[in-house]
Amino acid sequence: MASIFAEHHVGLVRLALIMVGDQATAEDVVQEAFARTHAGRARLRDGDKALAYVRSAVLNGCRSVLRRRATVFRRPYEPPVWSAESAALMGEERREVMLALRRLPRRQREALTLRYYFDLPDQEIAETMGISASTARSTIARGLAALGRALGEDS
Amino acid sequence: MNSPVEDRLREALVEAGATVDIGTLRPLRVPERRRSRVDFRLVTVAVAVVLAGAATAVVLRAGPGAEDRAVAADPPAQSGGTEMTVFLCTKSAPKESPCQGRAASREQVRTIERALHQSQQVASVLFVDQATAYENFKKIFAHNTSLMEEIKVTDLPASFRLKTRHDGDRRQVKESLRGLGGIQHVADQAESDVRPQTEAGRSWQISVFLCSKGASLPSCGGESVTGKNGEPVVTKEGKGATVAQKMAIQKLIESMPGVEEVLFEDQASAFKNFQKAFKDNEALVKATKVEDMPERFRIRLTAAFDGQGLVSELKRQPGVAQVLYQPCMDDRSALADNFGLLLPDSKVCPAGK
Repeated sequence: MASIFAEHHVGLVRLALIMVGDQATAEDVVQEAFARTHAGRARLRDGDKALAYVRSAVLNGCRSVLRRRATVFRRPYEPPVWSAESAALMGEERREVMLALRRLPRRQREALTLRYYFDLPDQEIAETMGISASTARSTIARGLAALGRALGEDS
Repeated sequence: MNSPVEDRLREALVEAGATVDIGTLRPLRVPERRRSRVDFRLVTVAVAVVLAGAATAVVLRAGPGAEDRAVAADPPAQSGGTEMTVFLCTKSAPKESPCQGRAASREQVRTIERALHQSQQVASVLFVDQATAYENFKKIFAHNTSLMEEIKVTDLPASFRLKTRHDGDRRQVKESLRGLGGIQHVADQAESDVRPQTEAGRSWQISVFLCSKGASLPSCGGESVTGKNGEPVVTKEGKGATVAQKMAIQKLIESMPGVEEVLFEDQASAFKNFQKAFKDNEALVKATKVEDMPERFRIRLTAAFDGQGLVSELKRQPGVAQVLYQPCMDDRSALADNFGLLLPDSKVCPAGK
């Protein structure tokens, strides 16, 4: 389990960052997920399953963060990397897409990120999110359509 | 057949992901909750991180020896030099305390606070609520899983941390609090500081005390009852450890994993150490004879090795009177000094994890 984290640390932080919007929180989420899965590491022998397991632990952590933020800002609010305040980091066009992605329902946002950032197949997305492969497929399709509408494209 | 939306999404995600600054990425820390030999390697990594000057939180978690822990045992609230602590009642306070199973009411807390502010002897008062106490507790005892499970936030008493004036009379402070409800007990830092400090003792984690002649401990075959004045009265004298037993114990220790060094301390050198540790207490030193000193083996463990298993095995050996485990004792005293909780060893560091 530790080696998975070492290997995929940066990738996991990126996943968390896309979800929560700032690196400090993203790192915390990954650290937390690491600490938790570390305790149960003996139970996981299957390498492929382990990565999906770790990814879903990170996603879970992100959900908690977002839920907490929705109710009250416990920590000083750090603007997401794609907000106007951090315009220096990303181009306008990209930011628009990220903002649209952020407004999608949680599941669609997660499924789209796993597909279009990590290029995961349906089956792995399903395992990571704890849903069935067909649900993952349809969630991606619906998410993509919603994103297209939000961006004013007719595809 | 990628649609434009897909392409745009892909590019945007790549760019968002690329904003992760790998240079500032903090390394993952291994939680020290379950110690095993597998963990050991990783803990060493974490220690290296500490040396590299990472955040203090890392120090708290990865501190391999008692020394780090002793530093960490001062919660932030105490950095100003608290001298007295008034621990308030909780529901779960022990029966012997004046709390009678009731937590301090808001009215009681206010009355206590007023009394403290009015006292001429008190320079400053800081209130530490249960949530803050729990935060500190979690930081200090991150390494002690069983204790973390045992103690809930409501078990930790809220407290007033006081600083007295230079010429302040501590007894008067205690006096001014007398009769007020909601107080579990008042701890005086100056009193708990008289605890003997064995400089060299820190690096020895385990002390295996051997039975001496006339010992009253049941582990040595002795028996004792509590006399009228609360003093133990020996009803049956135990036997001292035999030479064969001592040799067997030493052999056993040397064969144990995680043992870096073993030292046998005979009565003469034990007495020397005792004199050093209690040099401020002349009366005690004078009343003690070399023959009163128990012999012991002192064990130094390799860094970050959890000696709990060794401790429980050593306790079972014939000729062993008592085994003390330093990290466990540190935890106990940190718990008592900072949180007003007095718990038996079996709860602070249960054997056989």
